[in-house]
Amino acid sequence: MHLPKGFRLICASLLAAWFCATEPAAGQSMAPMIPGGMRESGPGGMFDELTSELSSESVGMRIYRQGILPGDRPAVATRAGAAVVPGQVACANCHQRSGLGAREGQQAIPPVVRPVLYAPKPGVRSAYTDETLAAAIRDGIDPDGRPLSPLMPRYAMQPDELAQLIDYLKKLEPRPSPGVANSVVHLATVVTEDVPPARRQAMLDVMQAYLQDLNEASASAAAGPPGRASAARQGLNPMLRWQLHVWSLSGKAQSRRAQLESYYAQQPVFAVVGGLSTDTWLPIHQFCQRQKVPCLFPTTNVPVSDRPAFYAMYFDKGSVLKAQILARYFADHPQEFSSGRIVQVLPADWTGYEPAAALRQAMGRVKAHRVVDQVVAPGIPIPSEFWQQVLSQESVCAMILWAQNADLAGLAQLASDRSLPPIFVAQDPYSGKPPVSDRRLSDRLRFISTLDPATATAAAASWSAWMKAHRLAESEAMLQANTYFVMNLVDEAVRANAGDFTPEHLIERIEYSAGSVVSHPLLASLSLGMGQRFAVKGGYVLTPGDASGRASASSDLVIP
Amino acid sequence: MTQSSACRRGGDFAASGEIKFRRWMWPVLLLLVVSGNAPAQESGRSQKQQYQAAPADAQVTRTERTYFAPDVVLIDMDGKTVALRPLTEANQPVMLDFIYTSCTAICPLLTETFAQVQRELGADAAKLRMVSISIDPEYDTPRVLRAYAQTYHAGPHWRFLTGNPKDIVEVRRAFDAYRANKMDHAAIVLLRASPGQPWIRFDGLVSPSALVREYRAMP
Repeated sequence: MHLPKGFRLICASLLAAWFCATEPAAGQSMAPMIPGGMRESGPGGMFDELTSELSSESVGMRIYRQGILPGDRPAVATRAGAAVVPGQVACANCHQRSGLGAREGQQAIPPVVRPVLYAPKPGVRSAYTDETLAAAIRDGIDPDGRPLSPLMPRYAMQPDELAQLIDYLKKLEPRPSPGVANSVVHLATVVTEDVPPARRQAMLDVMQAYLQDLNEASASAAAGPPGRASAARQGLNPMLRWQLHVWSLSGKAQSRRAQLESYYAQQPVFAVVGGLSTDTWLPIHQFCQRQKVPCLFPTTNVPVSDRPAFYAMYFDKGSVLKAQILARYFADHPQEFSSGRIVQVLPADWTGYEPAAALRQAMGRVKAHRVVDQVVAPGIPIPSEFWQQVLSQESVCAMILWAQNADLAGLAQLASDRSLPPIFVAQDPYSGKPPVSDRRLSDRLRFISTLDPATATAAAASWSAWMKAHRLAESEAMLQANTYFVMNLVDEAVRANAGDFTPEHLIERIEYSAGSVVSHPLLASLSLGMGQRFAVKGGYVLTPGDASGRASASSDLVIP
Repeated sequence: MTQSSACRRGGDFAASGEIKFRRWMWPVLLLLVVSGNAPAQESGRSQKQQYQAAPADAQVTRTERTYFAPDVVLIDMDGKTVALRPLTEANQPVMLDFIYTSCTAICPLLTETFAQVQRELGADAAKLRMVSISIDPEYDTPRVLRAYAQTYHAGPHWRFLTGNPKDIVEVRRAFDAYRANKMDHAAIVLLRASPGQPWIRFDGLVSPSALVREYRAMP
């Protein structure tokens, strides 16, 4: 069905207006609806914070997390004879939000939670008192009069400011998640109704198999003689059990908050793991931030990419990242793409609007004028007449399709009659089948992908062996690998944190372990750091290879 | 959460700010440094000295090494390409370290140290080429590095570099500064007087005053 251009534009405008009116909670250009949200500074993260939380807590919390004194003055500190820059001065930057400290190379940042500070460390130091703690913060000396590490800043603070910070430190103690009770760790995963049943099942099968392994290991350790538990599980309660709750969301986006709250009221969870949606992830993102529940690595093309939150972690910025990769790729290949029009075909929904806007923004004002948008109705096959009209425009140097699972049959019909420009498709070639079956297009197609198909890692081999051992076919390889990775991360973090179930501690461990201690089976360059919330920051432009869909890289890693 | 697990997290490591370094640990530390620091491209010359400096440098080791920068092209904070080898072989003193901007403890102190060296050298700072190479190139884009450099008031003689992750790994290996996990990286500062001279390597949290003294004592 070919619609006149004017009609299409009107439809697109109406759809956009409808989205804006009914779903204020979606899209890159729309801020998450966190009432009175504000941001934290420093490498610890530029996070949305609940003003209500900050105002209901003490001045000390703001000093600790943000390094901001009353009157909005930045805290002032020195170390090793130099001033600490304002962005680095918050206590949480080193001691972490949880107060449980961290490790960096050979340097250990000690915990500063109340139960640790106010107890002696045999052979290391005496217990702190309010007075000696003030001296540590102000002068950098421990309770026994010895200097602290040169890493510890010496803070210039008024006595009342110090007192408020110490008051906060006395409240700072591990806060076990309500999602762990009676030796059961409750996890949830979220699936929206737009997800095909086979994909939903592929994800759930991996989760269930993983948790079954953990439960069997616990049962075996509990039943066996003392010492049977492996060293890796020491410190964990041998009676620990894991339970998965599937939170299915349906209906309109604005009803999802209530659905999530209802599920959580029935059974609080330690973390929301994985998850699957083609729709915006914003309601889940906001729910996790509100309830302080870690929300870990959903498979979604529409993550909340513009306003990071402490509790929500993503693989990448979805289609926005792909648009940014493409803009960088164009800039790196000026001979092919520095002149001529760039036509982007986008469905009239957020899966189209987001990357289309991101591409324009990434190309910059000067170059974005060469970009022409062609809006199509979502989910409807695109006829060859449409493509004919698109290609009739003068000097098209590249075409981009933002539609998921785009039907290119109409375009393939034209391929034998005329030369086509490179066609960029925002689709991972690893979804189990070739994205485009028509070979007539294959020499023109380019996939924008976060996956390096040339990389065969030990993690990939180990994952494939695990899948085989559990009789799971790699039917949705990327999704299943994502899911396995998330389960592995949570499992590793619980072990590394020695059975501590503080949500903030889980996040902090994953910032450390993602991509290093725990590798993703397929995404070799994934990693995080403190305050980072998107693990994959670059990608590749791939060309389709053989009939099996195995693609090959036509670019180095492209980092926008 | 129990107190014991919290203690375990921060209490296991000898370099904790709260663990006092004892004299008997020196032989152990030296042994660890010697066994763990076999550089990938070292010519075999390695002369170790205990650094005589301020109390803050008590845990710093100073060694002389021969390193060769690989032939890679990196990108500076202004988005310009920079060939690393000519930069490090320039006919002037060079001071180099490895950092990443979301690092929370060691890197800010290293960068504050560079900033303080720049300040203490005053007009002489222009004679010292300072190079900070990101070990998290996917996150530390030129834009991110530019903002970071501005925060520390980096002068024109101080470049922050990023690049292709494979090239960055090659550079780290060449200077014996590679760790698989960026968050496990060590505090290392390298200083070289002129082409052909060895690199002076400081392992640990070297102070700005110690670096300035080292620079001033250079031939």
